[in-house]
Amino acid sequence: MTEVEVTGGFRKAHESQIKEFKYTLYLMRRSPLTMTGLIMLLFVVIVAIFAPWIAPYHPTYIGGQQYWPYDSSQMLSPPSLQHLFGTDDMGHDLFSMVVYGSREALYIGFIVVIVAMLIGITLGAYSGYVGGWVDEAIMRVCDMFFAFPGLVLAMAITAALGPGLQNVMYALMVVWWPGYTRIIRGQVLSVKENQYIEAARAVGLSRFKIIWKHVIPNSIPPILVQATMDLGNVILTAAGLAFLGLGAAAYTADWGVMVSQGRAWLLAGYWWWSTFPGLAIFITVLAFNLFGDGLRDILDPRLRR
Amino acid sequence: MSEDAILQIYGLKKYFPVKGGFFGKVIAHVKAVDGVSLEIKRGETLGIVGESGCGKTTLGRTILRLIKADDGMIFFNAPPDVQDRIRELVGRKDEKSKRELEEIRKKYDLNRKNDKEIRPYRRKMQIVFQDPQSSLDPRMTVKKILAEPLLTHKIVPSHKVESKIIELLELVGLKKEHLHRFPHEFSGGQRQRIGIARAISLNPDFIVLDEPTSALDVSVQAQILNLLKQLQRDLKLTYMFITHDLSVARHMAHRIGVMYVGKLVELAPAEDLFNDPLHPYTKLLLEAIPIPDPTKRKKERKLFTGEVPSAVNPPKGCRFHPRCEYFMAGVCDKLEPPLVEVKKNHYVACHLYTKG
Amino acid sequence: MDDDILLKVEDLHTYFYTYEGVVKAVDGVSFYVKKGEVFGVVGETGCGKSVTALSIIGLIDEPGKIVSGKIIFQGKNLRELSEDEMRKIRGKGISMIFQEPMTALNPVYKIGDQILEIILLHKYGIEDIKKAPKDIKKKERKRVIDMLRLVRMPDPERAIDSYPHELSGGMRQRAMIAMMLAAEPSLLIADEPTTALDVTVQAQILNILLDMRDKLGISIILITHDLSVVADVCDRVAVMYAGNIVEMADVYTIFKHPVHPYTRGLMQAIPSIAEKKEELKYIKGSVPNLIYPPPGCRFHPRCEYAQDICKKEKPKLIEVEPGHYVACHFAKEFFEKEKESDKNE
Repeated sequence: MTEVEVTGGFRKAHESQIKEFKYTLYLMRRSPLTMTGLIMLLFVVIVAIFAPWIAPYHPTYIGGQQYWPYDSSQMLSPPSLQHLFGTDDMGHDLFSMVVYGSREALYIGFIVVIVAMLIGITLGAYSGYVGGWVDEAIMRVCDMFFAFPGLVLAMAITAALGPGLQNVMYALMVVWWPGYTRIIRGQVLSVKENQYIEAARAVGLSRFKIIWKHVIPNSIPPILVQATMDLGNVILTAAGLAFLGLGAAAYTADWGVMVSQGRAWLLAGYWWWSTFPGLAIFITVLAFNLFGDGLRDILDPRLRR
Repeated sequence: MSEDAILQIYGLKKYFPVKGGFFGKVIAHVKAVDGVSLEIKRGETLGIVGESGCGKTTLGRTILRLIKADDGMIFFNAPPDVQDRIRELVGRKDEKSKRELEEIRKKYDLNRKNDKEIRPYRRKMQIVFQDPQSSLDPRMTVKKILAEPLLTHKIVPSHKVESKIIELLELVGLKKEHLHRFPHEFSGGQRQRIGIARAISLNPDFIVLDEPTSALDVSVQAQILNLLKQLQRDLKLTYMFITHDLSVARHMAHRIGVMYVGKLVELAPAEDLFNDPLHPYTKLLLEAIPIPDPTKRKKERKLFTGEVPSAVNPPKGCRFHPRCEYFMAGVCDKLEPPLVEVKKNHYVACHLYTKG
Repeated sequence: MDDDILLKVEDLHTYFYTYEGVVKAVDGVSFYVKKGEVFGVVGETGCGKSVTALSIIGLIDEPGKIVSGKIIFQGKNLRELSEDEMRKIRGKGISMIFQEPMTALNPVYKIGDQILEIILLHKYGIEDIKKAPKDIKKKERKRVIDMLRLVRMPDPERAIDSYPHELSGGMRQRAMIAMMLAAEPSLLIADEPTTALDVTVQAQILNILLDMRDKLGISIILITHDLSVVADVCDRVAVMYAGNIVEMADVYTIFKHPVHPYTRGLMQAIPSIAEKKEELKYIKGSVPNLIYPPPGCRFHPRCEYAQDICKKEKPKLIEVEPGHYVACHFAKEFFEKEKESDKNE
């Protein structure tokens, strides 16, 4: 007897999930700030995906052409129809660079957060569920990481590894995992008290299966909120590191690098170089924060039922 | 008496450490279950009643080894001749008997088994929880919830799991339309039915029912109680029914044990307990229950005083002595009364009856 | 007769506007409470008993709303009062105690101060306890101890300086009762006050409530799911089902001649301590969803006597004998039958 025969199709079998999903959409629609965040977020993501079609030039093209000799009249030109965000001191089209920069920002954000989350979930779940010395050891290591300000630690690690995008990402992963470990652990401690965990033990499930089938799935929702907000924070920190010269090389399409390079020209009246990538960072981080905040309310079980 | 006992429990103890101070040292113990001995006969319902904090829930959990007891013996499903031998050996102090008992314990005592060894026993002993809301994983559909025990113990081949689940649902009064729903889509009574279906899915011999109806409305409670009785008849189950509600216990149980602060104070056939309660605490409990008939209102309202003491520092001697109206100074506050048989099958732990 | 009436609720409708639809939690409820009586409201989860209570005291929050009806307390319609006037009624006129006292007591203040605060507010109009003159505080402290003694708090001199978490469940419930009585209300609403307590403690708390009625002459609305508690302490009782009152009478009448099939079903479903029944009678099905309540009589899908008319018309509350109201199309017939079987016995 297959599932379809018994229940009559996908819609019927997943009726409950569909209802749940519709309700989530409804809650989202009711909160204008969450919707704003979501729309901004979608905008950034779409820009990143379609960057080659949106950007008029390749970010490394100078003055609209790939090879020397460059046209000096195209250098440091203010925003115009030809160059929406103006150009830098070598004649790169800033609009194209900002558009391509979104790819890099999201790439850093997602990779770092996902890796940190995976580490955090595994360690946190075992720490909380097993307890005892395992818990003690993992939490003390976390404490050590928390003792340093995140940015300083990331700087130190990047400096030790040497500047570069890869190394910035490693550094950020190292800085971010303890946060998830701690949240997951706290969550697991409360999930563990539920009787369905005891029921699973009474049925004879092994500890490994209980952790992966019951404890972790029920501990995840609150970290989704944290993860969304962290996407913004990671992007911001990465930009900070780039600003300090620890990130990508000069003239790469990286928002942090662009702000950093443009800063020297800011007071001289060439305001556009730093401003537009800065705005891009601002919009992206704000989008993640707004959406994360809204997500917290939507996922809150007290509001749901 | 050599009736077939599915469970024999001797001197069961569970102390929970209370941590405190700067280094999280253990500063005290909650004596949740403090030396409980009893037998549960095959096919009967043993009611365990008591107020919150009396240790009745911990007792159930310890028997199932969901919590490991600190001391005591739990013999489950021992063959009848071994049961008799255990009864003979338990009180004895000589070396030879001790050694023999040790041999039996190695084989049958659940308290001697480690987590891996206990797993096969899980099939045979199950539990239904009080709160049907938290005893079902909110992220799993009914199908997944019920498939879990079936697959873990390979009760049926995997292609037959779904039909087995439908059979289980029908057994507890649900329908196959419910298969793909989540727990929150059900009413409390229906959720409890799912919990019961999970418990019986493994064809157990023995089920601990931990306040299975105290979270439910009366009209639904009656449905569930009837269902439990019917399942007991049809599947030949043995129940341990834990409840704070004496009227529910009377309805369900063949024998009833009354617990007070970790101790069993009275154990008797249900009818006997209600018609002739012996322990002062049992009397107090019966007195305190409101009766659903206004014409039977007590003319003089008794002044009930005191509350259940903490199990961290239980009173010395008889634990009930500070609230007892028959308190005998010098006896009750010094000596702990043993559980003795004062009438046939009627056991009580009170100095009123031990003195003669 | 009308002087006797302290609270009168007329055709109260309280709805909750949720995503899934309008929950008609209370849908046309009328009753009255006499001075000095204990009025029981009994029903199962979701029958609207707590919402009725919250409507009376004016604590219905978004997305809930009192849609229509009158709540007349001491001659005033509470629904017409401003929030300010309502606040004065709360406490001094009507007080409420809850199932879980821990949620109503503030964990960071001592019990004594919380009671004192209420006395100061209602007697002197002092809002901030810190600004109260010393001599008043000293004088009223004695009263607080008296209040605690009144609710039979063991060792009140010590309890007054305890924090809520230092007290046991029963003691907390006492502290809350003392607190709610501090403002000398004329009506106390007790919402499942003993549900979280053990039977021996429950008996103590119920005794205290009756004591308060006798000593202070207050009226009490006791909301509970437990018919035994009703039988034990109430004078009159209303049985609620799915947002409606289905039967209302004095307690002796209703237990002797329950008329509505729901009331009868409930009474038969309780296992009795006095005798052992082999099989419990039960009411089939479960409480309906109040967004789409069954048309006609809301009980009809679970009722073994349901006829066509029950599915179409909503029965009105009619008086079958003086003071005994029933909302059932066959109330008169059932009532006669009850009387009949009574005679045969």
